[in-house]
Amino acid sequence: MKKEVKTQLEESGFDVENTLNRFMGNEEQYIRILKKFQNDLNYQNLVLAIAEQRYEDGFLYSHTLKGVTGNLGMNNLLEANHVVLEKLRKKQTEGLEKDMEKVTNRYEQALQAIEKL
Amino acid sequence: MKGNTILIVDDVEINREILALMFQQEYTILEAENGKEAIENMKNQMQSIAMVLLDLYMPQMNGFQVLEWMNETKLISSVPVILITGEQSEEMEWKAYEKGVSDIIHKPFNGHIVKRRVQNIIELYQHKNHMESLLGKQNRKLKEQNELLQEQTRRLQEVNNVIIDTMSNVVEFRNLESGEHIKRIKKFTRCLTDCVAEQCPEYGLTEQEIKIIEQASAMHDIGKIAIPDSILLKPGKLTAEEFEIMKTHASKGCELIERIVDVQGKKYSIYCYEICRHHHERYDGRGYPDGLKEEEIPIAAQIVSVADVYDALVSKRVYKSAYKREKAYEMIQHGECGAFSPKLLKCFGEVKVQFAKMAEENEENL
Repeated sequence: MKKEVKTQLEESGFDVENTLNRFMGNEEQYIRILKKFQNDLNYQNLVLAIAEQRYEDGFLYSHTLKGVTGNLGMNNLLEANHVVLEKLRKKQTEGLEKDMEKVTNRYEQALQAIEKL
Repeated sequence: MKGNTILIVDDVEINREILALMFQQEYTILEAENGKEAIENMKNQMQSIAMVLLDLYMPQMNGFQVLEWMNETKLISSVPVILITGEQSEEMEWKAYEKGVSDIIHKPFNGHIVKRRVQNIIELYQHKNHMESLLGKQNRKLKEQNELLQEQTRRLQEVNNVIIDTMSNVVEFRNLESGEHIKRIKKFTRCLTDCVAEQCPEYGLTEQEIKIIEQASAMHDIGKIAIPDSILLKPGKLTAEEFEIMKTHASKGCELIERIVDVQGKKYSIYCYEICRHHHERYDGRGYPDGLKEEEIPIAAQIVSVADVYDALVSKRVYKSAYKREKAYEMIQHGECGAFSPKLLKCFGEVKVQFAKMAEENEENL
């Protein structure tokens, strides 16, 4: 992987080194699947579920998002989503909007980084 | 032997793809988006699936429901499952292990470690399945051979029973007595032995032994084969000398038994021997050939002795006419025809009606 690509991803909060382990060191495949994340709708579904106060659905989307972002090493987004996930698990809705704003910021940041690949 | 396919069950394509990338060089990959699809895949490819990588949360049947199905169909014992989950909960993990998963891997995972764990478990199961199929084959073979052996034993015993009955009938035929004597002795013996087994547990007679005694009673007079016609068929009273020769049929019979009944088993030989040798002993010690007294006389011989005397009394013989059944019963009870143990006479009293009935059936058959 070109050093600048790696640095760029790391600056956007990607855990490149550990994630490459998951892909058995295959960068090409890592980038290919990162690009697939552009089509993953779990984030959008999560936003919609919370807006419509379908918190149980929201929990499942958030849970799935955790798995995907974890697998792809998107640590910033993973962390922000984790806060939302645990609140939904405990059925706490207080401050949820603010937590979701953070998720949205990091999601957009991550997508920008991916688009540049 | 299970095949070389890994079934990946996860509702998120990206997750499936990352796992598929790990294994696609060594294994054939099947993917399922939810539990329902997973079960369909397993039904269709039962023989080729070496491993299931299973996610927990999925729409349309979750991971636990898949595990339930695999338990119901017992597939769980031949196909290993690794749970791949983002959840960190001991309760969930415990539940999953209870349902038979082999391992649990948390997302995000390290590719090299997952690969090694999957390979280890696949090898373990292939070995286990191979051993089980070997064992199953051996068991089936053993069972077949055992059945064959039992069938042969059964046929051997049948043949032997026929031989024994035939031999006994040869004696009867020479004796010019009723050819039914053997059958009646067996019936009387069976009836009285049943009663003794019930009333006198001290003899420890089991159902199997009762059957053997019934069979063996057919042999009681086999030794008469060795008695000359002039004595055996003499219409009048025997001289003292002739009677001595006649008495040798007991010891001659058991000599014969020792040579022929091996195949029926040890117990059978013993009972035949006891019955042939001792069915003319008396409880007071004045019988022959050994002058045994009281409980020295084997119980089987005591029983057959009563059966034999009763049958002799109620049947017509060359030298006498038949006694009435009631009279025969009284003669035995009062010691006019031999001497028997009080215990046995008590049992004989219990089966008096049954004996009379069997004797009556016999008269009708004549």
